[in-house]
This record gives sequence, C-alpha cells and structure tokens, in this order.
Amino acid sequence: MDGFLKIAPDIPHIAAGAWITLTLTAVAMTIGIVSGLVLVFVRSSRIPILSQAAVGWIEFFLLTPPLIHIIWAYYVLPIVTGWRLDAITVCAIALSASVGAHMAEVFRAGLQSIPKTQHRAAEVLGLSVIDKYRFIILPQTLRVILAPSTNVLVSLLKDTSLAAVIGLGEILHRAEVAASSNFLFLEILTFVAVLYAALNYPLIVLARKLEERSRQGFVSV
Amino acid sequence: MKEDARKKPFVSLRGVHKRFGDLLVLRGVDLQVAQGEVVVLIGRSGSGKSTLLNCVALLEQIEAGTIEVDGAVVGAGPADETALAPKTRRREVAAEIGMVFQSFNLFPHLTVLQNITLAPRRVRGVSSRNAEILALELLDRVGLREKANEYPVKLSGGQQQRVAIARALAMNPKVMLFDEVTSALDPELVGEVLKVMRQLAEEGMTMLVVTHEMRFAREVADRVIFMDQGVIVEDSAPSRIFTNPSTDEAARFLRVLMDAEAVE
Amino acid sequence: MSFDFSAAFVYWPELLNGAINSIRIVALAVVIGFVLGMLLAIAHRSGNRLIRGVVHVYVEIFRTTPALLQLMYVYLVLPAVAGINLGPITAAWITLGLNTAAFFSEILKAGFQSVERTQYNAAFVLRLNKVDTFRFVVFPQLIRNIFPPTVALFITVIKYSSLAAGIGALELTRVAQLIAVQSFRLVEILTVVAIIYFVIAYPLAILARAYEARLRRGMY
Repeated sequence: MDGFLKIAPDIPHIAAGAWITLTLTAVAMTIGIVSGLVLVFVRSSRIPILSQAAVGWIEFFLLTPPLIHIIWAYYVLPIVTGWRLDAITVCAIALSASVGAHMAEVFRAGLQSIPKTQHRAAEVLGLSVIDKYRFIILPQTLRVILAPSTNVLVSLLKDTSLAAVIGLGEILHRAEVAASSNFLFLEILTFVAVLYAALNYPLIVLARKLEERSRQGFVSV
Repeated sequence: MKEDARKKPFVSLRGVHKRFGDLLVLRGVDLQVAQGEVVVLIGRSGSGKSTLLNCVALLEQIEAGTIEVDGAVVGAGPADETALAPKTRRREVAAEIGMVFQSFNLFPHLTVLQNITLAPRRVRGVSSRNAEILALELLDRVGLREKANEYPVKLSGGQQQRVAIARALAMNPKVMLFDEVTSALDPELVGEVLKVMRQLAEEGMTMLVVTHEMRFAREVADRVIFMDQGVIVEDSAPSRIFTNPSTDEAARFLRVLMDAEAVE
Repeated sequence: MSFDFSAAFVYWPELLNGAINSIRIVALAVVIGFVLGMLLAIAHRSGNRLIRGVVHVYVEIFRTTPALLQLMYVYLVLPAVAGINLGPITAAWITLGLNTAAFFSEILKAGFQSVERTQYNAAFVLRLNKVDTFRFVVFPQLIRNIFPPTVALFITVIKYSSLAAGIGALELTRVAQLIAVQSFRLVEILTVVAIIYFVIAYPLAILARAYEARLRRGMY
C-alpha cells in the first residue's frame, strides 16, 4: 500500500502525458473522419481503378496491426520522403490512416443500412442528389454511425499507447520510464490503468447510450 | 352422455386476476368455453384480451383465481395453489393448448417442414418419418404443401401465419388460441388466414380468438365477448351484440368499428 | 533510392520463426478467449448479483485499458507481486486470452439479446422443454448472429498479437524491427511483414464477407 504513496512524485509527470495522448487522439480522429469520408466517396466511384484502390487501402489498414503502421511510419517515411519527422507526427500520420480506414467502414455500413425506399421516396419527390443526401440520407446515417464511431474513438485512445514503443512521451511511455527507475511496476501501472479507464469510461457509457437510442429509432439531430 | 360432455366447459376461468408490476390488467375474469365453441374476444388495446390468452396458454402466471382446461386446474393464484393438478397431468393438458401469435414467430433458421415437425418429434417422440407425413398433411390443409422446404424468410406474411397455424395443429391441440393473428398482415393476405381459421371452426375446434375482424366474428363466432379494463363486460351471440349491444361501452366501441368497416 | 527485397529472403528463417511465434500467441489466445468468454457470458446470466458484478468489472477493466498496458502488467507486475515469471510469449497469449474473453463475452451477451423473446414464447407454447428450446431454437440463431463479430474479434487478436513486441517477445513484429534495423533494409522488411499480416488476416475477412452476402441473399 505504501508503494502507492511512493509513486506520488511520479504521478504529475505521468498524468501530464495525458495531454499528448488526448492531442494525438483528437488529431487522428479528426483527420480520420475526414479521410474516412473521402475514402467512402472514392470507393463509390464508377472508375474501377479508383474504387479498387480505395478498397485496397481500407482493407490494408483494417487487417494489419496498428503497431506495424506506427513502426513502418517511424522508420520508413523519413527514408522515402526525406522529411525529418518527430515521433508525434509519425504517430499522428499512422493512426490517422488507420482510423480513416475504420471510419470508412463505419460510414459504408451506415449508408448501406438506410433502406432503398428512403432513396426512392426522395427521388419521387424530385429532390436533387445533393438535396437528397443533405436532407434525407445523411441525417439518418448520422444517427446510425454515432455508436460505432464512439467505439472507434475508444480504440484509438487505447492505441495511442502503442506510441510508447517508439518512445513518444504519452502516458504509457512516461510510466515505463518512471517504473524503470523505481521498479514500482504494480503501483505505477495500476495508476496508469485507472487513468486510461477514467479517460475511456465516459466514452464507453456514451457509446452504450447511443446504441440504445439508435435502437429506439429516435435521435434529435 | 353427449349432452353432458357438451355442457361441461372445456376451458374455465374463474376469478382470474393478473398484475404487471403496478398495473392490474385482469380484474376478475369469469369465462366458460364449451368444447367446439368459437369464442371471439374484442375490446380496446389494454382491455386485457391478449393477456387473457397468454394466461390460458400458460405463458403468464395469474395472481388470483383458477384456470381449468380439460378438467384439470392448470393455472392458479398463490391462494389456490393446492387446487392445481399434478405436474404430469398439467403437462399433458398444456400440450392440448395451441397458440398462434400476431408476429407468427416461426423459427427462421428452420424450413417450413422442420418448423412443423420439431415439437411432435421432441415433445411427443414422434418418429421423423411420421412427423414429416403429418406435417405434409397439415400443409395440405392450409394450402402450402409446395412450400415445405422453403425458409420462412421467403414466405409472405399470410403464408407464414398459415404455417404457424399448421405448426400449432401438429401437436394435436384440443383448443386453439389466436392472438390478433391477422393484425400484422397486409389486407390482401388476411383472407387466406381467416379462411383456414373458418375451416378449423367448421371442423369443430374449440377456439378462443382475439381479433379486430368483425366480419369474421359475425360469421364464425358462437359467442362474442367484449372486454374493457380487465373484465368481461358483455358476452352474447354475434347476432345480438352487433345489432343491439346491452352495454354502453360495447355499443360505443362497436359503433367506431362498424363505421370503419362501412367505409371499406 | 533503391529497394532490395532480397533482404526478406535472406532473413526468412528469422521471419518464419517470428511468424510461428505470432501464430502460437494467436492460437492460444483465441482458445482461452473463446472458452473463458463463454464461461463469463454464462456467469453473467446468473441470478447472483456478486457474480454478475465481478464479470462486469472484469469486462470493463479489459475494455477500458490498452492491451499493451495489460501485457506489461502481466509481464512486469506478476513477478514482483506473485513471483510468477512468465516469458514474454507466454505472458502475451495469457493476457490476450483474458482480453479476448472479455470482448467475446460481450459478443455473446449481445447475441443472446438478439434472439427475440417471441421465439421463446413460440417454443413454450409448443411445449418444448428448456434444453430443447436452447438446442433447437436459441443456439442455432445465436451462432448465426455472433458469427460476423466473432470473425472480427479473431482478426483483432491477430493484429494485437504484435503488441508482444512491446515486451520483447520474438514474434513477427519484433523480429521485423530487429532485422530491419540490423540490415538497414527498413522499407523492404517492414513492408514484407505488413503484407504477411495482411495475408494471414485476409481469408478471415473474406469469410465474414461471404457470410454477410449469404444473409443478404436470403439464405439463413
């Protein structure tokens, strides 16, 4: 028990790593949502090369480990592009790509779940394609994708811990560093677990609430 | 002897009360149904008609009163528990009660034939071969023999409901309960289901039917029962209740329904 | 800039060894995860509030914390606290197994809920007993319902087996990292390894997609 008191001096530094964790999460999620939209759009293109490329990109990031993305980006991007990238940028790029692919799937599934009858009803009313999506399809899609999107966000927040492997100073890495000097693994890692749980729990509760509401079929958007 | 058999009620509810949480849905229902009688239950939603059927089907436990089927007390409130028939007898009688639901409830992962043969095989120990013969006969009766190897998802609502009736009949019931079985169907599919029900009635099946189909009630029912707020308010022959109901509540309810039907 | 993919061939024994370790981790984690997950799901349906609470806490812990953290916990804390010293690979499949169990129990829970109440009612009035109801009515529908999310979970296990690299296990990712740095053939090695992971997971993705297509065509 006293071990927990011994780690008190480390706590502020470790907890401060949350800033990096959250920043990385926010950046990757934002870019991910945007790229997810782009990917879904390209995927539905009538040009086979474009749609197949989009599918290939999505499949690749969906089926390969995020850790590989991070390591690959860390070692390979500087070589291939000649840029000098720091750890956080590399992670942001890697995680954005991964989130983008996941969000593309979420959007695709969401759009597919809107019954064809809604499309037909809109067309019969004479709405243009843009208006149809803007007023009928997308609002309903929004309701459906809220819950799975929150799940993607939670996974992303947890995956930021992978950045520790390449030395980025987010929560887990700072904890590792602190623990490597005082060996109080139990206390430090427990604290980190609580910290992540605290960050994630509200999101998970939100996701469950959204899942229930979408099943009831009513969300005020 | 025959007279006596016909006079003795096959289904008998006495003082049945049923509560859901704070809500008392059945407030003392008394009902006798003789063998071969077709009784139609009408009333507003919330009047307790479906709950009544569920209690007779033994899907729900009652809080007070007794439910007797084929001479055995199969349902009783806690106060009358000692009146209950022994478990084996109750199980026998339970198998004499068949029920068809508003939402068909066919097993989606089984073919039509498998849906019908499952219970006879598992509950009555009928051999697969005999169960299949029985099932095909029943499918003939409801006019769906050619769909025997289809999955329910491929059938229309009316067809699914007819399969549901065949499935219930496969257990050789002595009384059939119908809970708004046509309410979820498109209008053009209602007729085929009512036709099967009419056939059953003509063959002498004891039936308890909750429905909004007034024409069916007028033409097929032996008795029409109007329920309101958990009690039976009126119990008359269809010729009487539709022309000259003796209670205000029934009159009011029927007037709205008749007007609606007149428009059709 | 020239790429020399022959490096991948030169190091194939190490890569193969790494892949085998990865597969070991995945296989063991999946077995533990599915079996334990089933037990958790059953326990969750128990009437006992304490049991339900314990299961709930277990699942929440594994769902809200990163897998890498869980791995480090098992690998670093157990020796300190209980004197149990697990090699990195063993720690990896045990941790992943516990993690998978939490997620699988949630899949099962959702699967159970997706079998409609009305199916139970229909079986009841046909007088099927509880065992037959489960065996012939509930279980077949349950299996069909949980198939897609279970395949997705399987793919996730394959992906997160790479985390064992974080505690030094010589599975595919770690081996790739080491060789890549040593041979200076970073691009080639890491690309090849990414492709290997893809090739392992792809059949599962196809399986899930084929199943979804069957459902859409109306076959159950």
